[in-house]
Amino acid sequence: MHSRLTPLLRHLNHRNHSSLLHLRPKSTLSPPQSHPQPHSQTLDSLRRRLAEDSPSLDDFIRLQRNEDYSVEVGTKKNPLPKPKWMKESIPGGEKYTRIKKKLRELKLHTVCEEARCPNLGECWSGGETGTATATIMILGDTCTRGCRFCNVKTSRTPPPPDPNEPTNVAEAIASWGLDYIVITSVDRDDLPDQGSGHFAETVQKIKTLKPTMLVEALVPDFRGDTACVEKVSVSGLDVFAHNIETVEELQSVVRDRRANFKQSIDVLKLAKEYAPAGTLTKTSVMLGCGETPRSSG
Amino acid sequence: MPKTGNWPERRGILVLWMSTVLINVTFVETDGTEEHFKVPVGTNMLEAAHSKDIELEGACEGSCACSTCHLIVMDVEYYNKLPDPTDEEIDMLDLAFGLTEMSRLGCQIKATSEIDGIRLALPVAT
Repeated sequence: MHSRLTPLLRHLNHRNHSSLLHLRPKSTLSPPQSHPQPHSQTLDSLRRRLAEDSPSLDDFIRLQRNEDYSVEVGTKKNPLPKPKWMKESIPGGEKYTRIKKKLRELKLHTVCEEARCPNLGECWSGGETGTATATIMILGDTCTRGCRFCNVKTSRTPPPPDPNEPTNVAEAIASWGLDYIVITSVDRDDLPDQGSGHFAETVQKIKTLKPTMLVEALVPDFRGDTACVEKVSVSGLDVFAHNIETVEELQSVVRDRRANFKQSIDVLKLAKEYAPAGTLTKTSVMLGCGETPRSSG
Repeated sequence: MPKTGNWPERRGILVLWMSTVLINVTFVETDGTEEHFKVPVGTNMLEAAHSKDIELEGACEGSCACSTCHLIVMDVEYYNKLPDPTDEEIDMLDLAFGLTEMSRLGCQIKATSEIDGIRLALPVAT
């Protein structure tokens, strides 16, 4: 029985510059998840839950030793059949339909839909834990960059952001009755502040309307601009997230070439400095891009 | 061309005629394989590659906002026949992996009768 490694987003929690990486592998070897505790209302409770629920490093080491880490996929002209565990079923079901309806009703956009994320069905239907998640996208539906893993529309000159969006999004989310929300955006290299002001305003407005809601801001790299990173870091968010997306060696292959490993790590370090003490920083990596077990370790 | 003197009709036929003019384009894959195709005038090389199943990435869908459709023009005479790149294209080309002096973005190379016979190499990596 081999460990099931799916090319999903993995969440690496960097806390207090700890060198221990906590993963949430979808390993068939880990014990079945018991029903999760109700969502806590404070950041401290979240930190405690993360400390309790995170799997140990052992699960990850087991995956590393396993020869089945890599899968041969062939070429476009001569593809090899993919293993069953790599396939996702078409999204559907009650929770999925409910979320979709709610989003359209509240006129919210999600990166899940715009980027055509293959995990959409799983996240929106609750997956293993039964907790449905969706990530709201702001600053429009058109990005100034073209990363290879993402299907969001690209343009050199996207339409200007809607100045009413922070208010509308905040009101919509506050009315939804959620405990935790993730807000992300497209890259806006075309704007003078790269969208950081709009982003910060959205977070502030959500927090004003619903102070008990936990807000995670999944931000672009703002080309490493310290002022932009600071603006978002002090907006009142609970979790500052910025994705490194892949291992260092594959950055230029997977991401737009304006993004890079050092810039992203610097953004995370800066956020840690600027954000109030206790703010969580977070990053994510997509596995299955061609990395080796050693490089992802 | 119709002799009726009806300009819209003539223009329609002219456009139809132009779109059926084909030029010869050769794509050279990373392993050296040469693929010869006929490409309609007016198509850009990214569109042409995709229509012929050549593995050329176009992350920004031809909006000159990335460097993944980077191609190398193999013959300098053909490179010189292409119109100069815009500032936007130059900005994106600067980011390309393995940039050469004969590099262009595939989405910005439009097929014209002047470049009939052009040979375009896919770079080793994107």
